[in-house]
Amino acid sequence: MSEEQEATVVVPLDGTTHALAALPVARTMAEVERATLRIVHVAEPLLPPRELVAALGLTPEQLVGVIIDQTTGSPAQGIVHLARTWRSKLIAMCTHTGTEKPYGELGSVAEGVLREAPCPLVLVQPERGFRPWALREILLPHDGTPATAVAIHPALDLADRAGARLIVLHVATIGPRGAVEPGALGVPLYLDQPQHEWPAWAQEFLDRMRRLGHAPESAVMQLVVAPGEPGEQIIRVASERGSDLIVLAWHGSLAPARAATLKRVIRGAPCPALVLRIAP
Amino acid sequence: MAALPPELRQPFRIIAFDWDGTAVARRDEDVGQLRALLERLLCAGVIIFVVTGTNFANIDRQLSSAVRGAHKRNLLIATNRGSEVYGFDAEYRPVLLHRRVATPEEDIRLTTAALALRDAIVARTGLDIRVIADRLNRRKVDLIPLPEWQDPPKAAFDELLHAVETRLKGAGLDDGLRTVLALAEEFARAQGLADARITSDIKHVEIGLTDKGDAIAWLVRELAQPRGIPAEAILIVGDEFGPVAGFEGSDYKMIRAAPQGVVAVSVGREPAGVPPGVIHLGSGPATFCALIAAQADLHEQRAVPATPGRAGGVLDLPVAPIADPSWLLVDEGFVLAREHEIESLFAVSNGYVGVRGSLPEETRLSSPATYVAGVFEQGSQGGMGAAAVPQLAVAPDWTHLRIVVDGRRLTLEQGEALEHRRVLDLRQGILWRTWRHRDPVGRITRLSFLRLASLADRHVLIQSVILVPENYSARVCLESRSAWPHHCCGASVPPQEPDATAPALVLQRATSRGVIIAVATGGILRAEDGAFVAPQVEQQAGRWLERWEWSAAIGHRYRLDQVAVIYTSRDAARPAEVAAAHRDRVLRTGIERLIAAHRRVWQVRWRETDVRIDGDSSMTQALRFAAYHLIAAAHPEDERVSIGARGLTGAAYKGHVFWDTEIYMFPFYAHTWPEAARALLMYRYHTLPAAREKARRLGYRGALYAWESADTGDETTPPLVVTPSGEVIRIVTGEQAHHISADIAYAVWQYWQVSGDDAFFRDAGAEIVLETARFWASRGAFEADGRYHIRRVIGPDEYHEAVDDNAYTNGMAQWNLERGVETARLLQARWPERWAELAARLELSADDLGRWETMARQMYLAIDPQTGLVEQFEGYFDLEELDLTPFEACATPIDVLLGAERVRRSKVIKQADVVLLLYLLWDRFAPHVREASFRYYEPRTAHGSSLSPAIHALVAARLGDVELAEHYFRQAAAIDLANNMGNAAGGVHMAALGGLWQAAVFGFAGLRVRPDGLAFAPHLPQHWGCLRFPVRWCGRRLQVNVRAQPPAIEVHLRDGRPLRLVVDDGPEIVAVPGRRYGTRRAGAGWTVWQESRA
Repeated sequence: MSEEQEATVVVPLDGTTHALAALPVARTMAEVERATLRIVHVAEPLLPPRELVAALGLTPEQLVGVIIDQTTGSPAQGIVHLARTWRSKLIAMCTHTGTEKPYGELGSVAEGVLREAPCPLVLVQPERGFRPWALREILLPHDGTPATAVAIHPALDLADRAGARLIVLHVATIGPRGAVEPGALGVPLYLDQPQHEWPAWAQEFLDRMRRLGHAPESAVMQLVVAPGEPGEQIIRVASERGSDLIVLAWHGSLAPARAATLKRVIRGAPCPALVLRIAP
Repeated sequence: MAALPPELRQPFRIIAFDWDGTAVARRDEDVGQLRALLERLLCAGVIIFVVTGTNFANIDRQLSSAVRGAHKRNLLIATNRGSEVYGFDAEYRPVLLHRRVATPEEDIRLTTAALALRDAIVARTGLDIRVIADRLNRRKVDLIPLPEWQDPPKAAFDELLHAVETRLKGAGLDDGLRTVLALAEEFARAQGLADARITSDIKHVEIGLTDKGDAIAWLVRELAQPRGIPAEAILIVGDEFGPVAGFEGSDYKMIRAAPQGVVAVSVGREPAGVPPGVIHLGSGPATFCALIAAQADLHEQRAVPATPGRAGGVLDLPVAPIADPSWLLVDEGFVLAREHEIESLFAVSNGYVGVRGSLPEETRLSSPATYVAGVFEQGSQGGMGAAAVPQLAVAPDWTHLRIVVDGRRLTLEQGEALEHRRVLDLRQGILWRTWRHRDPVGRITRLSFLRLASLADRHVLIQSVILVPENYSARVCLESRSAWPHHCCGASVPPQEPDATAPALVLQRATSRGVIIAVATGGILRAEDGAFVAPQVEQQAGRWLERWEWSAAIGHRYRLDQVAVIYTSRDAARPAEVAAAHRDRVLRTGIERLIAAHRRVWQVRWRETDVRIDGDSSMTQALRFAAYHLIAAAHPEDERVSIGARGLTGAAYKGHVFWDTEIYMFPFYAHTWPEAARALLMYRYHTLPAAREKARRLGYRGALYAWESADTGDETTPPLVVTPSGEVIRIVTGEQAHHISADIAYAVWQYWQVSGDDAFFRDAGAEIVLETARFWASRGAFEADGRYHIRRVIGPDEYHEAVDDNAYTNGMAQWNLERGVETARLLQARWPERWAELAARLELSADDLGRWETMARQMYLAIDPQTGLVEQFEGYFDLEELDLTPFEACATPIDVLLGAERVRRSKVIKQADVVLLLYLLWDRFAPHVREASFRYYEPRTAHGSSLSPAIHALVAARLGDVELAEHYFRQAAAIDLANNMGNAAGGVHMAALGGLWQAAVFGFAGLRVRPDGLAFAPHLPQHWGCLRFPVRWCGRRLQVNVRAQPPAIEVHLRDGRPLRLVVDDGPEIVAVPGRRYGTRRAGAGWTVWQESRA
């Protein structure tokens, strides 16, 4: 593969109606990324083109500007393989495509892709249907840790390319302060004089995130603080604001005691969620 | 113990000693006293090296497990006869630093040799001889495995020797023990263990791979040599140096491994005498304890080390950091995200100017700032169209230093920091930094920095840098840029064209509030051979560049001394010229003299200030950190400035002055630095016109001080804030927090009581008291119940706004009115002319005074006679009860979690309100009222303000609840130092720091000022050995030592006139200057004061 290869966005379709819900999101993301949209279908046997289009339930309008790839084998592995081959900017797919809600947060294919994806993954709730999707506001939940700050730059880049607002959401948790990563910044425990404390803290929060995330000085971000349980608050704020995309930083583990916020948001997100894998 | 020989009358930097027999007689004895002495040495930076044949657990149980604090890192324990060395990490956990592990083959040889020795003895004597094989790197042969000799104490040395020799010789082994030792050597050699260590404690003979000499060899190799500690600074103490049964004593092996020049002492009996060079003191552990005590005294009496940086003629920084870790705040490594916090905590200030502890070469997250006290900019407009409020101006960043090696910029963010440490030297008021860096191409550069804001000459700032290219020779460029910041606290600073008339390297600009700031900079770079590198100087738009570029040679040292001198138009008519001339003078004379003067002033300040807790080094460090920033924030010679909520350490709170200064910080100054306290009150005196204007504007008389003030004293409280959750909060403190007027009057009175400064009171203080009293007389009203009510205020508990009859406000107003009357009568009696002038100007009459008296007498203050509870404000008891227990460990403030409105409807309070009143007016409340009210409000306080924990510590201590007091004390100490509060980035919390000092002195020591002297009612945590602090009262200097167990107080009246001392409303004495007095608890009371020896 040559270095000059064009950017791509991969959207896996399995022929179900649910899977098609990812297509409007993938198309918009491809436009934002100035990338070629590639539909991936993993099944046996390989089908002739016309039969494939029919099997996927694609209309002629949906085919405009799209390349369709077919492969066989494990669906998750096939999707990941093609995304890697095409050095995809991202993969957009539904959380699940069966008619039943999966036992966990994700269907087995989506979970497999999430675990192995070489690029960010946009997870789309099948309930959103085929409605067109525009990216006007990105909600970036941030726990104030330096590790999570690496999500700032990609989120800002995306917002910049899409002309979207970037809202940084910090959830002030109800529980005790846990083991703190050095340099982590939570809401101030002491608010001696709120007229000074809040502006100073907000400035500090955004400064830290901006600089740690290597974001440009000119980058515009708005900080929102919501108290409560992180997953619930992310969903609430995204719903109330009508955010178009939630960007979630993920440390790469789906073990039972890990990634509780990610799992909760994926389960209840009112809009697509982009998962950025960061160092554990 | 008799007087020590001269060799022992010097402070040693390393003390290595044998444990059993030397430090302790038995493994199960209590070593509390010895531990306390050793901790004093550890705190003084002395390396304590315990050498023992036993395992780590035994020593840890008896000694090290109870040592806690940063100083524990100076403690090392060499165990298993030199086979292991343990140290301790930052969390006081043991860390294995060294272990010699026998190979399997060596293990077999050791066992074989020991068995051969046993068999040989048995063959010759028929005795029961046993081998103990489960020891690391050694095998023990028990020569007397009899029950009565199972664990012989050291004291039974003679009896043991006699028993062993009798046993061996009686069974036919000629020469007894001597023969056994010879056999052990023979069998070890036969096993190929040519370097085997043969030792004996009489009961056993041991064949091993290591002995105590190996422990000392490790100490010298790993600690002494790398730190440049000479042999003469090492003390080795043992109890068995002399020969035993013809073989050299086990402790002599320590000397054999030590370099010539170490000092060795034996505290053992040494029946065969000691080898040449060993000082024999005898008397065992008691003597050892006395020796350690003498060392602790020597270290504590030692002055700040004088300029060791030039030892041996090596070019170094002019001074070195102090060794005692309890004087040091250390940041090891580099975490970019913490940079803003570090900059605040490590700021250097002198009350005139403050410099954040930013890295000179800057990082992505650097926020360098130099603030000049009292110089403000008109800030940017607030949110939602709110009016702009002034904010501290930022001077050019004179600390900036770009370091370029062979065209590549040196920065922590590229390459690898091999070593990086920042140290705030509280004792000397100097910020240190050591940085050893490998750049991306492998060049290693070593840099050392110091920075200070001179306390001796407040206009001068100094930064000095040593640079050493470790593994390269290259072109090196140091570039210092002085420029006005583009932004200050969010507001744009207009670019300034260079002033052609200004002297070279001077930047001058007028702030938007009309004050001209001039900053003159300059530097001198010299190489170690004395050669100077001339700088290139460039002037660009609004900035000066000074650049030194030269070919740096591998291993050579180069030092750049940078000086910045700041003047404003408030100091001189032509500040640029004055600053330039001052800078030139400093550069001409060199920085050494200035630094020496700076250190001397800090020494004086600490002599007047240092609070120390024996047995709690972390709280000692916290108190020193607090005092450091309090000292650094004050300027006794400038009456036009006060201290902002974050001092001169950060931009948060915009440099605004609150009640924090008078209620939380002021007592520190009043009791340790009255000159600084006076200057703070003079700021209030000079801003009286603004306070009168505010009162007039709101329809009152007298003086209502601004809740927030800056340079003029005008109200500068922002009217609203938009929180990050989008909530617009109207800020009503500027309109309703009227208690600040009484708070300031309280500080005036307190200063007068503590200082006896009549001139201040007559000329300034009295007017403040009268004008604030006049305000209260106009602020409230008599109502139908005949009581004087003050409605619609906000008290210290700012969760509840527009409340009626806030207890704190009413209580303080009542006090203020009473003092107003007292002041008037006092003026009439003592200074009638002044009274006549004031009465005429303030339009005060005898009727007014009569009304004030009535108002004070009738002031509404709701105290339930049944329960003793003071109601915080009218209707408080009807509010919703909200259990705070589930939120106790919560990381988020309660008003953020539940919302301001919900909290407003509840009894949850933000901070000490009634509790603060109890403290400030302690004697006005009956003991049962104090107890009941504290117990009621304490669990309902959310401590949403950093001002709260220290006051709770103070009151809990006064009430005798030491455990609760210590809990709050530690909470207060952690506010800036714990690194997890999220808001130190904007500056340190000055009020919390002042509160911490008050909690220690007024709470735990229970100090209270009486008209004729001082009273004490101490309540100390049992594990605090002794709380020591100096204090000033009416021209006298006192040193107070309060001991926990058994409770005792010692007071040394250092100078001045006699004064009365009282303890717990019991025994009194009139103390005479130059003498010491003591009392101790006896049952429920205290013994009479007795004069004690110095």
